[in-house]
Amino acid sequence: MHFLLALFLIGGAIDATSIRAERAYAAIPRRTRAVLKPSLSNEHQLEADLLARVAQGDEAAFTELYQRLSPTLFGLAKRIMNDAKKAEDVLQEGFACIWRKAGSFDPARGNPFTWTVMIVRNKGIDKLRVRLRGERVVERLTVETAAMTAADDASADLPMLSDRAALIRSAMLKIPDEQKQALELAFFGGLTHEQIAEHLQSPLGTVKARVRRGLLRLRDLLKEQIA
Amino acid sequence: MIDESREEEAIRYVLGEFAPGEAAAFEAALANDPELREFESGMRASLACLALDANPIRPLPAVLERILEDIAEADPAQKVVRVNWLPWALAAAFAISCTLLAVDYGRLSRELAGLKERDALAEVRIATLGAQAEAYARAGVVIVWDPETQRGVLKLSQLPPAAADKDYQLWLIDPATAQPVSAGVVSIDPGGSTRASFRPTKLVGKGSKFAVSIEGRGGSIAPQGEIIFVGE
Repeated sequence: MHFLLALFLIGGAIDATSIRAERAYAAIPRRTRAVLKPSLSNEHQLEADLLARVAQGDEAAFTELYQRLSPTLFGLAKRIMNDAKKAEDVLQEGFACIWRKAGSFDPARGNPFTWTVMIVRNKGIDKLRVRLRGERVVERLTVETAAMTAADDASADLPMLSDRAALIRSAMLKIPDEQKQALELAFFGGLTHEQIAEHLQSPLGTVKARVRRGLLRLRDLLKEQIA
Repeated sequence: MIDESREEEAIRYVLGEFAPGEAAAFEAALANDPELREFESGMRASLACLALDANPIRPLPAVLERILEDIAEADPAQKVVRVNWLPWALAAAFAISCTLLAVDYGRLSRELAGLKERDALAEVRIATLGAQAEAYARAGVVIVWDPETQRGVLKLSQLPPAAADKDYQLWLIDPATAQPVSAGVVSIDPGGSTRASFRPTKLVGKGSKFAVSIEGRGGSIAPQGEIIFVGE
């Protein structure tokens, strides 16, 4: 019950303004937020089990894993490519790679969610770099970043990931804008530190520090919120 | 305790900014440094969580279908069944079938040739004509006749020479029409012998009989003279 209440409150918070979201999440009792921790662990364990079956050539397990993760991974691909058709290609290549490499997944080095996200992200970035070769990357990313912020949240019908999404969105609200911007340019835009520095017209050292501090802050916030 | 520059390296590694050589060097460092490994793992997990900041979108069902098709095509196990063995099996079956057919065809051809030969021999008739007059009793007349091809061979021996204004003429008599059909005038050598092939001027039936008559020089359209040999 507490878990559902937490999800409800978190979901409502996402639809509200940034300030309201932060306050709503903060209002959740700490012991209620703690319920999320086993929930995430269970999800990771379930996905790890599915990956182990996929490594054995279990197509049903692969389909179940796809049903669980594809909305997030497709959303990621769409944000990287800014094109639904190209995002589908990225998702297709990404899941084909997941099928082929499922046997190489090492639980000691991370959870299945991280593993699959990085596969799809890297596929997308590879394609994006080819596509953007010769284009003016900076202008495109500026426009996209602004558009993404205003995009509709389509996660309402995807309850299985709502707790994870709520955690990250809540955490992102607490990261300073310049760090968040640098992280987004690196992760979604595939820009190197040097390219980000050029785009933001900031010293390379400053960009390195923003990315590093942003990630450290994100890591700490996630640890704190599921603690 | 790892320093900031090492942390930045780990982040750049996770973001995929390293060239292959740099990545290999960093991976070697990771293998030997548990603390660095833990930091890299934490950065990777935190970075992956940014994916949740993108709006989730459920892909169209066709995408999963395409992925499953790709997987089925690329699956080596299925390739073995679908791609490797099937053509070889078909080729082997085809080769075996061809060999069997060739053997069978050869056997059938030989059988057919034998049958044709036997059939041909069965069809060929050999007739010994009997003399109808005492003056020709010592002569021998043998005919080999193939009704299928309407060709025959006549062999004569010890036949007395015909009169100066006469010729021997061969006839085939078809029982169906009872009308003798000329097979030509027979020329004999001074010794009274001959061996000559002949062909009737009209088609005759299988049961035709043979006759030799004495006709005026150059022969007749229908037998008019004495019939000296008859046989069937």
